[in-house]
Amino acid sequence: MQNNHHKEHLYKILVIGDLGVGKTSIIKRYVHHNFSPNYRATIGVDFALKVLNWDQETVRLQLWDIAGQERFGNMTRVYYREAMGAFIVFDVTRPASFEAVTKWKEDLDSKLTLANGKHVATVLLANKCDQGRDVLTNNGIKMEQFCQENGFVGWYETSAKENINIDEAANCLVKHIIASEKDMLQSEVPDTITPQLEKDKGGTCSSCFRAQ
Amino acid sequence: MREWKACEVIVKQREKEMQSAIFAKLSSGSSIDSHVLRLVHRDSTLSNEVFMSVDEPDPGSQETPSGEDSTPTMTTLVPPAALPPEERPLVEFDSPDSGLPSSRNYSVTSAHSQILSSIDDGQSTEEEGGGGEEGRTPGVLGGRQDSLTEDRLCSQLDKLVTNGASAEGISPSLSSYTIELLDTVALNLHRIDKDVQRCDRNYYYFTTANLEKLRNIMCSYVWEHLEMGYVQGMCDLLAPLMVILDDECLAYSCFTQLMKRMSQNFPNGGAMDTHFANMRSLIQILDSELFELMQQNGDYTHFYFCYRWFLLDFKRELLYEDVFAVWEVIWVAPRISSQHFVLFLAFQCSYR
Repeated sequence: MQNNHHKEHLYKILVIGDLGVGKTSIIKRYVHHNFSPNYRATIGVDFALKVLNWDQETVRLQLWDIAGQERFGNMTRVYYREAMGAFIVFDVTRPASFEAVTKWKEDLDSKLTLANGKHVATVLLANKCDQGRDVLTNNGIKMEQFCQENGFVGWYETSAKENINIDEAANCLVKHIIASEKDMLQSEVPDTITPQLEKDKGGTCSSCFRAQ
Repeated sequence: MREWKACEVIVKQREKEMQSAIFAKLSSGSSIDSHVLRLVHRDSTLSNEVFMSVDEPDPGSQETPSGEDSTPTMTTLVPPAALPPEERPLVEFDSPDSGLPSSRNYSVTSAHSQILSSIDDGQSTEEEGGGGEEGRTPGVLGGRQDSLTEDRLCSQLDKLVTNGASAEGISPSLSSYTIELLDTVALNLHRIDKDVQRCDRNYYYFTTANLEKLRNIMCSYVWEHLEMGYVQGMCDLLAPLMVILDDECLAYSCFTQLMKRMSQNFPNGGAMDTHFANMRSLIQILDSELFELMQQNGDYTHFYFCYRWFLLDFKRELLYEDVFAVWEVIWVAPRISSQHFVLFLAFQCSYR
């Protein structure tokens, strides 16, 4: 805080979605700039760190790569804790994975809220867009509308394999996280006068209160 | 194995119907039906009157040259003498997946489909009241056609299950579960496929052929344990056994034994929470300084970071050659020291 010219931010970001939709691949592409068809299924959770320069500030993204089958476990509650943003990923070639998106979102929102009571910024990723767009074209889903209705701040067609839109999606998420963080800082201002309000209510000064 | 394979055929058919109206053209769709039909017919000669009427149009559909060879592969038996009786499902391990009708579902002429649709009609009169499942396929196929297909598939599955089950003395009244069962199988097959495809692909052993074996074993196991289903991590437990035994039947038996202990670690069992609690107590008592450090830095004393260690007996944390050594020690530990030997290892791992 002392050095406003070079602030550092650390954000915990969740990457969730059904198994095999490409969560790990997206993270590897984003962080290590490569793609392999030989990734293994994630067990529990994996981590990756991405450092960004953002308006002359340093943003560190701690990416939590959560195993696709974990929605059924009760460990997600702990995994979600203190996250600031999330990607929910589905596979455009597999409609069932899109159906699961709302379930993941519900799971996330029910277990995690920001200090100001709002849900964390979440970006929807339609991954494997290099392999076809079955879900997007066949179902006639209006993605903008879907995002609005389900509380996503945005959506991107991505391909970890072809490196499409992953940086863009991450920038979008970071932008919203920073905005919501500012929002929270502002909403903390009324909090600081809360003791005064209580004092008025009780009709005692703080020293009396302490004496009691 | 025959049971889950038949189930798989049906599931694949259903997936096709549900997923893409474009692909679900009448010909490709019903070719599977016909194969399944014939297959089921063969399988269910013991107690099956429902499919008798199919016999008449059936010869007409035999112009598909590959049509018949699928049936023999399904019934080919490996001599079961060497296997203990409880390994019965193993006896058909040698039937390759490629012999399944599902791999040929696009090779049918439209004339064929004409014949088949007449089968469908004949079928419908007898089974109209059966499944009562409404059409699930969007688009191209007519709703009526779909419901018939679904009906017929269900009753076929029912027959299969009933035949399989009756041998083991289970009540044959499974008809009301078939849709749920299909859904469960479909879900599990998808999970298995996803994980088999990416099981230790960097290790030389896992060629396409060996992955196919891995899949067979996993499907057999999950079919026998559908109530638990496939959970991520199971492939990891099976993989080293495959590598060291290099034999489908042995690996299946060994995996089944291993899972008697390890399944407790999966979400349905309670062992994982016990492991966490034990770790917590151990660290708290033996290294309170470390424990306090954990608490201060965001409270990691739930010990979830040990999850993968316990779930896979450290398989992911080690190289293959070390996995064998460590697993052997873990397996003999209950006999020579303690059932909680893994805790000792975990403690070593977490030790600074």
